[in-house]
Amino acid sequence: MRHAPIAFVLLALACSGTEPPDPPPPGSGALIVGAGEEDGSAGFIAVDDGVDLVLQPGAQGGFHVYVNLRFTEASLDKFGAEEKPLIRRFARRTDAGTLVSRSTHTTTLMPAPDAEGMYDTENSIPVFLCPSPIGVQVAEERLILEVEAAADEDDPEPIIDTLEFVPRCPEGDQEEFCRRICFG
Amino acid sequence: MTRTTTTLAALCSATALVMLAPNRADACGCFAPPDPSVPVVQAGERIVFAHEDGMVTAHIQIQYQGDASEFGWLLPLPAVPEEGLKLGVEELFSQIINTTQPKYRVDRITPDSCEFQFGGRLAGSFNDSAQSPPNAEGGEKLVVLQDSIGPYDYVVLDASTKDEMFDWLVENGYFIPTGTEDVVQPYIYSGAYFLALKLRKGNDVGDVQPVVLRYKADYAMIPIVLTSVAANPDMGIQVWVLGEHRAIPRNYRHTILNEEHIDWFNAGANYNDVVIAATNEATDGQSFVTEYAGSVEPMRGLLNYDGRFGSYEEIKRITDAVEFLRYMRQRGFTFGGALTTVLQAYFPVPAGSDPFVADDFYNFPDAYLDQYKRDRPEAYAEEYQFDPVELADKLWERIVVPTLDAGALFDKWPKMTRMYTTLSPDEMTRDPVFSFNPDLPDVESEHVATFTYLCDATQDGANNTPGIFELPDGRRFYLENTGAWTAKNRSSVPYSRRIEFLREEGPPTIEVDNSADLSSSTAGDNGCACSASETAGNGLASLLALLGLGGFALTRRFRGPNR
Repeated sequence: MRHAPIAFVLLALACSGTEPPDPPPPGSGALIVGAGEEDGSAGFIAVDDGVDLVLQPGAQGGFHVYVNLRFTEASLDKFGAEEKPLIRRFARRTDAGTLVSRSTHTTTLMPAPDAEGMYDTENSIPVFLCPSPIGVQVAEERLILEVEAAADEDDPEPIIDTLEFVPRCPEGDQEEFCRRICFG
Repeated sequence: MTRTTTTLAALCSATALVMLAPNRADACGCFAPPDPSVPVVQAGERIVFAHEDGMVTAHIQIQYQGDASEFGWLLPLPAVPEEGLKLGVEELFSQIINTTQPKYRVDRITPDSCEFQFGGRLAGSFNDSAQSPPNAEGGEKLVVLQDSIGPYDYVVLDASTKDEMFDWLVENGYFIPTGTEDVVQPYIYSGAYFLALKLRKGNDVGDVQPVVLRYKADYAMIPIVLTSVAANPDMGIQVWVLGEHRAIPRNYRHTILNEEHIDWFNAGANYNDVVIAATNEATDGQSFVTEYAGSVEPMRGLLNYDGRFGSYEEIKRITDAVEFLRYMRQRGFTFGGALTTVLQAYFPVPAGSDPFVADDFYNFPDAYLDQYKRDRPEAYAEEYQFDPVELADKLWERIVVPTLDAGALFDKWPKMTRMYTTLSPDEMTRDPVFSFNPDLPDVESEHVATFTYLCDATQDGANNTPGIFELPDGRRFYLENTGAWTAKNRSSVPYSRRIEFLREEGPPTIEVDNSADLSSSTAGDNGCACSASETAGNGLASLLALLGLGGFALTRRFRGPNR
């Protein structure tokens, strides 16, 4: 997660010339990956790298963590009138870089209720993690989620941000099942 | 099939033998014989998945035998299906099964020295044809969606609590098999949903047809754990995944078969047994075989070719039964199957028809009714009045729209992957999830071995002449005759060539490589106790034979010491 005001400055500078602006570098603040509400409803939760995220049951007996994306208003120009960015997500273990989850989808944005000039994804995004890839432990391992927001499939300069987190199995009824399918 | 086994779905266990190369009734009235190089598999569960933009589309074939009143189907869902439940068509499955079916073929090579030939060719391929193998009143929060489509009543229930959901299902006539409560818990949580299905009143088992669901999910998944309460041993699970890239089993192992176990000279008749044995060599028996991965091109236009089904506006104006049926035949309606159940309600078999006609009537209703019309025009005029608009509506709902939608799948995605495994109930402990890997190569469905006759030494017709049998992986075996391959005892030889993990990127990670065992296992095969180097000698002899240079002495030289 990064600080948004920095992004405004960078974007303002970038847009001052006649050439098309360079895409904001990862961590510029044009896009911020945060956590989502545990029930999957709307709501961006700012978190720091290394945060614990609770694995939520879902997807026909699987587990996921919820994330949310926050965009600066200026960054929306890139996505056209509909402002529905194409999101590519890659979650990897930080130790060996093993890919544990990937997805591509479009998402709808809405004005952030608690941050003027910012836009959040309409609902929290479930990042599917379990059942984990065969032989790969996912729960209680540090993962890095890289999110690319692009105008379309051919956009060569997507906006990128990352979040490092540790998925944790929930306590209670689902814990044993979670541990069974999230440890490879 | 027992009552229990009938109900759960994705989750449907099968006891019915299903021919993967279904006979096709042509307009001439003849039946094309099944492809002899196609092995028979009994698959208990067949699903075609497509995945795009965070949405999974699942076409699920429901295999059911039993009483209509006991038909029930439960499926856990990660989200309320968009657009509710839709109907699918059997034709999707018959076509995609046929198009992607693994085939095992032996090309027989007959050098000049052989006095027998196949089809007048000196050296060419021979497709071995021997022995083809055989709301109700639910609470508002609990009932999320309730509707009917085609032959089904269905409901989507909030699965936050098990007891409440089960009570509702029982009270409303949905069948729940014994044992479900023991395995359902992982699917019960706040925000989870269950789809339940039953046959509408007035429909019977013959009305069962595939269903289509579309819901939000990152990955396609089969809730096989739930199936375990209703599964047969070694139940087949066949899945096709359409997408941008080759699909993989994310949380199951992946097996490369040792094709040495295939009954090549009987068109791979034992294929299913080989898959069962090979996947059982993987930990927990949880491994898939990729049977095809490649372009969807062979499927394009098969279901939705231009002009198919004609025009709704045209057909609904045809009031004569024979003309209506002729219009259907000329525009690609496939008679039999689901169409039979639709037509039965409008065009009954003429009273007094002999049993053969009664059995065959719905395969050729246009021809039979045309005859009846000519023989008994007055009775025909009286008995075959019907509402063409109503019938056209039903056809479009049950047949036309589902078929065209299924065909459109193959216009949308470039690749399809066919995977297969067999699982017994005790192995159904993990729901298989499917993903993609853009780095993996395609997999062909056709496997071709060669058998090169060694006619210089001795020859006794096509089946009793020795030769060199070469597997697609390059291993060669001397055979006294073609029957020797099938008769050979290979019980100590692994059925898996390799067991591996397929990731979502990069090459496979090999867990078990049996290559060394396979090589040594070829020694002593069939009276030719060849050492590794002598196996190579076989290859040389084979080459020489192919070139017409393999003289008797050379052939004897590699065989002689070992006989």
